[in-house]
Amino acid sequence: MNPNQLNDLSRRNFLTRTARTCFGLTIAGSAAELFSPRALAADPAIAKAGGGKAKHVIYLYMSGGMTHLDTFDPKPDAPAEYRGPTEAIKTNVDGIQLGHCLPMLAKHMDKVALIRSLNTTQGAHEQGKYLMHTGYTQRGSISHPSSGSWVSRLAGAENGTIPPFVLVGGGNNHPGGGFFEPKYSPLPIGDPQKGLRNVKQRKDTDDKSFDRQLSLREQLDHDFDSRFHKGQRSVRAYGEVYDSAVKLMHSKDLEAFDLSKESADSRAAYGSDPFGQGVLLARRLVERGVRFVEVEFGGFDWHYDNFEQMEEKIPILDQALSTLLTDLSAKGLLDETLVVVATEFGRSPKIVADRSGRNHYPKAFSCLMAGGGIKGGQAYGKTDETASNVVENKVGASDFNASIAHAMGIPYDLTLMSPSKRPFKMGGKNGKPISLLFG
Amino acid sequence: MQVFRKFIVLFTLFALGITALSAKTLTKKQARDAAARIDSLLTADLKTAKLKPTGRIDAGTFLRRAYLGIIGRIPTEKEARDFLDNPSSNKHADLVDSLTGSPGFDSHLFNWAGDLLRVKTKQEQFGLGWHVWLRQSLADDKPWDVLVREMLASTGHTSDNPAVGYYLRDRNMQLDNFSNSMQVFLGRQIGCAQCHDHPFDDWSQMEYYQMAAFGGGFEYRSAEARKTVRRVINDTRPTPPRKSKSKVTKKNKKAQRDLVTKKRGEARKVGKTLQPLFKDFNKNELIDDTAKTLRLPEDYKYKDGTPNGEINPETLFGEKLKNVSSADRRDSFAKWVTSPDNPYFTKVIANRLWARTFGHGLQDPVDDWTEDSKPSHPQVLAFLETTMKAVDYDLRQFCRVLFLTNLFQRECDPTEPEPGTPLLVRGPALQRMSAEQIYDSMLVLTRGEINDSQLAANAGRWENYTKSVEKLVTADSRDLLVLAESASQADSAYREARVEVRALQAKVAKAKSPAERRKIYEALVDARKKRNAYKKQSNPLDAMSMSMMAMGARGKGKPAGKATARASELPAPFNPGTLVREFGGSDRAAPSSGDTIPTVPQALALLNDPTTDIVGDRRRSSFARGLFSRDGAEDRLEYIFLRLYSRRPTTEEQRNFAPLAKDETSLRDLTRAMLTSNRFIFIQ
Repeated sequence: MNPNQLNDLSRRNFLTRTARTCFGLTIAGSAAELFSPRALAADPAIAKAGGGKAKHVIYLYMSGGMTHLDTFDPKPDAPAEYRGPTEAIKTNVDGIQLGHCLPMLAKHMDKVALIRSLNTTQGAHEQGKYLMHTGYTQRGSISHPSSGSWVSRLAGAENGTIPPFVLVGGGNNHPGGGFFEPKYSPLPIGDPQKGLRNVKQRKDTDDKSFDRQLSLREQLDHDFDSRFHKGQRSVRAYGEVYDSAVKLMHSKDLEAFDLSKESADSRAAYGSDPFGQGVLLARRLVERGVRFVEVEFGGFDWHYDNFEQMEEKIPILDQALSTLLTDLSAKGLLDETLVVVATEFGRSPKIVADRSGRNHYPKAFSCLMAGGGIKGGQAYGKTDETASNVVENKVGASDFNASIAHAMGIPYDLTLMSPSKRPFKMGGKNGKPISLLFG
Repeated sequence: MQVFRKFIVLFTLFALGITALSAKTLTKKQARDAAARIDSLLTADLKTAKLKPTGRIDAGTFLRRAYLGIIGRIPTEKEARDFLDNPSSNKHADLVDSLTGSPGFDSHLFNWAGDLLRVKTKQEQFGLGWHVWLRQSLADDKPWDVLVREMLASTGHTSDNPAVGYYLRDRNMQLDNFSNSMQVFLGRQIGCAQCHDHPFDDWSQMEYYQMAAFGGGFEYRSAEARKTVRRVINDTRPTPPRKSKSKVTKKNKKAQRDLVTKKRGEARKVGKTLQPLFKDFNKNELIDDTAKTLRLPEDYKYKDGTPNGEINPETLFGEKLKNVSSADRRDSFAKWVTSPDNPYFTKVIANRLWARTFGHGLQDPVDDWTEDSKPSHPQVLAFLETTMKAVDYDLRQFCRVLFLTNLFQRECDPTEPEPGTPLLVRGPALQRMSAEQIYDSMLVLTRGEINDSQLAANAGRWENYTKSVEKLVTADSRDLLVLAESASQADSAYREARVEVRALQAKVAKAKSPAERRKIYEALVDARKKRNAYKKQSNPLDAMSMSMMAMGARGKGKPAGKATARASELPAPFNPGTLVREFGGSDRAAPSSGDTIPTVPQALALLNDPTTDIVGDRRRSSFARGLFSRDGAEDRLEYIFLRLYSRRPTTEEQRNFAPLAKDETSLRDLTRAMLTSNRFIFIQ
């Protein structure tokens, strides 16, 4: 089936239903809950095209711009000044190779779809990170929601006690919930090993005291809130944030945040690095019904000593990602969990000789998806012999996000309005799901 | 129209007045006149738009806003009483004068500047140097143009010129650093043009490279280290062979060649021996190689240049610089950026400080100016620009003028500003306390009195480092060889210890029983200690600094404990998961990254974190000691309100909350509720 056909079909189908339920208006607020993934998976067009199988996303973000030539798109036949010391290794799928720092992932290639044809125009970190997360170019006048917040908003919580979007180890410049109401913003976890802290009442505080604190808080803020609540998002947000905090304190799923509940072997299998532990945390959260867990792994900006840094860093990704895939399959969760590896751009194919580094390179780079209805064992898209240009099946950031939506059974082209009355979609302005990724 | 003309005249007179004076510190009258001019220009704009300014805030609200806005923390009980009980009608302006002149101003401004410039204290050695340099420069009122020029023109080793941290921060990322400079100092976003012609603005990739070419000679390596190594080689060379006067034969020609080869071999050997001494030098020094020129990328695709072609520096707006010699290019660029004639430099810093004070820029966003930017109050902005020039880029004096305006005494606008939209300023924007303001205010609550001054600890550590570097490059050649030898021994010991640590780590994970795990774990702790000790010894600079510390050469003043230090004294960025980071403290990755976005962990921290509990433990909190030493309900209530909200309770609040001031549990509940209230974390 050609991708456009799929899109037309699902759009028509979706519009009919939207017209029925929302009288042709753009859905807003609680109406979004109508579109639960389960309901959408029943949409014949999406289901027929393999979409709508995922209930959760684990989104691993390699911050700083991960080198594509040395990981997902090795070029063993390229001249040495491009290839460097990186060797290509075989995987368990004929004809697909990976960089030599990913030996464990190579054994899972049958579960994985590499996307080797990403292409954007954003060559600076902040802007690139923004584009990949939101599907839109960064602007001064609007703040777009990230894919996790779209999923959080359109798929809703699977169960009510943990917020549907958790961000582990994220930096300051994560777009978060953008213009969405604060409840769609991520719950940030700074250090996965410490988990969600301060969830127990203080030792000297009984329930009565605690409840009194909360009601006194409202009383003290009465005048302040009557002046500012209406006009100030962040004032409203603090109201919601305290509600969620208290709800979380009483959540039966809190132990999901506690990695010490895992066996020593299981913790060791993910790697002792905070990233590995973050991925383990992501798995625990997904088991408790969290929709979207993003784990950020910083430090991929290798302008110098690319090959030394690669030997340190990529094995950490290799171990955590492979263990995650093994674990999810063993638990029977891989089919309903979309695993994503993303980054803001690739690295310049020609090595900067005097410092053996690679610079930023948005023109061609690689990401990956697995599980959640993705057809494994394939490499989608193609770059030329030096990984410098995309020669087949170009993928933009908005196509990438549209594909995440499609996997989750969320309409990627559903328009939601910002408070300033401008229309936005999870699939960006022109994004389309990559239909060949789905089995 | 007539009103307008009157403004222009007054405005010009004022500008001339203080320029002629050329005194950096404004007199009381000058500062107040300038503030009044801002207010009248704003009022005129509002009148035209048929809008009214917001009302005036009461003394308590002003007191809190002034302390937080000017020195970055809430007032102590005494400071609050002093102001509230002061009958003078000039007390608002007097408080602004005294706070802007106090060391707390420096601390607060440093947090802002450190975030803007992305200072990371722990980056190699230059991070600390840059931190200390910036903190001191702001405390010394170094004019902004001079400060920026020093950074942009810097080269050399960090121990000679710590401003070079600005470039070393982005070692080997010169183009990114350049894009940031344009954004931070000139408010121009041209990063896109690094890879391709800018789609919206008129920047081409060629133009981007022409601008970046001013830094075309950057090399991130150490000349200092090379010089020292060369000296040692010369000094330790065996006596040079006499020059043979006999005629050149084939035989002695060969002998000479052999000698040269031998000499080269020896030199290489000495160089290698010395390597461990200078291993950190390359990461802490920047050289400008005048023979080097920036080249276009290899995949350059436009017709106006050839791939990999050399590019000569050229400026694109403002004063045209062209055909600059490579010896002058760095200085010329630094001067061009910071010149009062640069069309962006002055208004960008003026607008940034306006946004810092009032919560929203006259031009928003503050770092995305174009030639068609339309700021909301053009005349106010023009006046700010004149003022900035008139005070000779002294940020303290400039901020003082802003804090003296009536605007700073108006109620916050109940509606938040729309990002990117020009806004007629009726009152300041409501702001949540920054993470650092929260951290420092918690200090005030738990410590009572706090020291706003710069502490000697950082400066002392930096002084030790620079002295060690000095010693190293001036030491006797033979001493250096001995030192290098021992460093290299420590280095191999360190490597062995590292292998051992890794082996033990792997073993811990595989331990069969808890007892076994514990035993291995203890061995692991020992091994780590050993490894760390060797690591220190293997770095002669660390080793030297340590011995100097032991000898008591700590610099002036007493070292301060971490617990009492304000956020500006602690290494930046704070670690993820700390209170500062939970409240949006910057990770120092991109310019001005700190945010005030509400999150669930923030609520949990204020509700339950032991470190935010100011009332549970008298030993740990001055607030608790003060509270429970008071008796009457009225006294206690006044105390709580003064310390947390910087004002006394209203009659209604007295009535509502006095019953809670009777027993300890209720007092605790009330205090904790106040700490979680919006009134506490927002600055009205």
